[in-house]
Amino acid sequence: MAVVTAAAPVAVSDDLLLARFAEGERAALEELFQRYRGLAYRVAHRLLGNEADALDAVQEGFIKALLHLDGFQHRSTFKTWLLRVVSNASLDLGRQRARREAQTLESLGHGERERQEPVTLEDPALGLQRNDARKAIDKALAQLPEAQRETFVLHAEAELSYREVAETLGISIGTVMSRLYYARRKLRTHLEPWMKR
Amino acid sequence: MTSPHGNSWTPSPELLAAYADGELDERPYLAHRRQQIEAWLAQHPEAAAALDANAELSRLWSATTPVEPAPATWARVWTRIEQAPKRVKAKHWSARLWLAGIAALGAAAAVLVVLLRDKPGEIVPQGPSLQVQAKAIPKVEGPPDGATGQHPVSVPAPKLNPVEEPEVLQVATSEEVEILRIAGADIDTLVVGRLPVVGPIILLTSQEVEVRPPVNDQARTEVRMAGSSPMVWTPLPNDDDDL
Repeated sequence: MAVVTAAAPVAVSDDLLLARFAEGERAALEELFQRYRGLAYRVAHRLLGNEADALDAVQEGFIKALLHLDGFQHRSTFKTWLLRVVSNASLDLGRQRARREAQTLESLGHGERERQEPVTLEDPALGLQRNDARKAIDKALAQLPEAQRETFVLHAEAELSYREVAETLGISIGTVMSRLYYARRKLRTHLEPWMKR
Repeated sequence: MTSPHGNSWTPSPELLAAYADGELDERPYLAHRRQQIEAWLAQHPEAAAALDANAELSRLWSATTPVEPAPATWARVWTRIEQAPKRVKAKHWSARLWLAGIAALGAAAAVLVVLLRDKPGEIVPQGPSLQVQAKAIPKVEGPPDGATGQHPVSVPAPKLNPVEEPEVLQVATSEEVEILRIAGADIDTLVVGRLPVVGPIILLTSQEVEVRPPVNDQARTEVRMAGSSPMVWTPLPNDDDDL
């Protein structure tokens, strides 16, 4: 019996989709959104710690990217450029949230110092342990300096290479290596109870 | 890190992490460095603990990957993204309108400044003052004095019929006014929103104006308004202005 192997569909490149969008094809933009929304969401979620804020950051990031597409010089890939925009949007949102929380705590007084747990909409089947581990990671990440957090998340979550992280953040590979080293060292310390399970 | 050529060479923790991350794998020119690290690790098995800890961190990280939102949630996000540029375009158009509005306000402010300038006893506004330069203010001249070539001439202001549409005395247009600075302004923001005044601000009509040349200065013309209206004082165009 003859075996017919269908060739896998060749993915249209980002550049081609961008060119189509520039010519007025809205579907090309939607294709880019579908291609990168998950990655952007995971990065934003890691930086912000909850789904609602992460979705806001992704939305804001895509809107900003859309509005500034003419500023995209193709010196980097669309993926790293978009991740930079989403990452910046996430950090901006995080700062705004921190200010709001500080104001709320101030208005509530010292009796409610405990930070409200972020809203999470996740599968209950994942189990409490995993949920707790995620909260522990979120808490540990929140204690990192912003630059280290961003660098680590882009490398660990977006699986960007050192060179891509450097390109995304506009820093040297040596700085990426240094930030990753210190980020890991601090995370290992904060997550020690979880590391030996 | 010490010299890679001697026996005392030790890779930095950052380089070890890069090795563990596979960063040295895809670059042929780093093959030698990779071999050095592997040789060093063979002699220093205790160093593997740090790499193991990083691997454990990676495992924990992967186990807690955020769950992606439902398709319906993504659909809502996409709808908002699609609608956003339309809003922004509207904002840009609105900003252009505002620039035109601000220019018009500048012209109105110029009129106000000219009206209030050098008027003794006038109440000076307490807020930030707008300094403007009128580039081509219309010339208003009175008849010459018999002996000195100049004398005050009063043109009685006719009674204004409240029913009639007053004639607008245009002192300057928005194109003729350049805003130099806003003295005393303590904000650096551009106010946006609906314009409080649309169109020209009528400060006075031609029927309320009395024209007379100053006694000692032919180069200037004084325009006095009827009653307690402010004074208009304007330099006449001079060839030196173009220099």
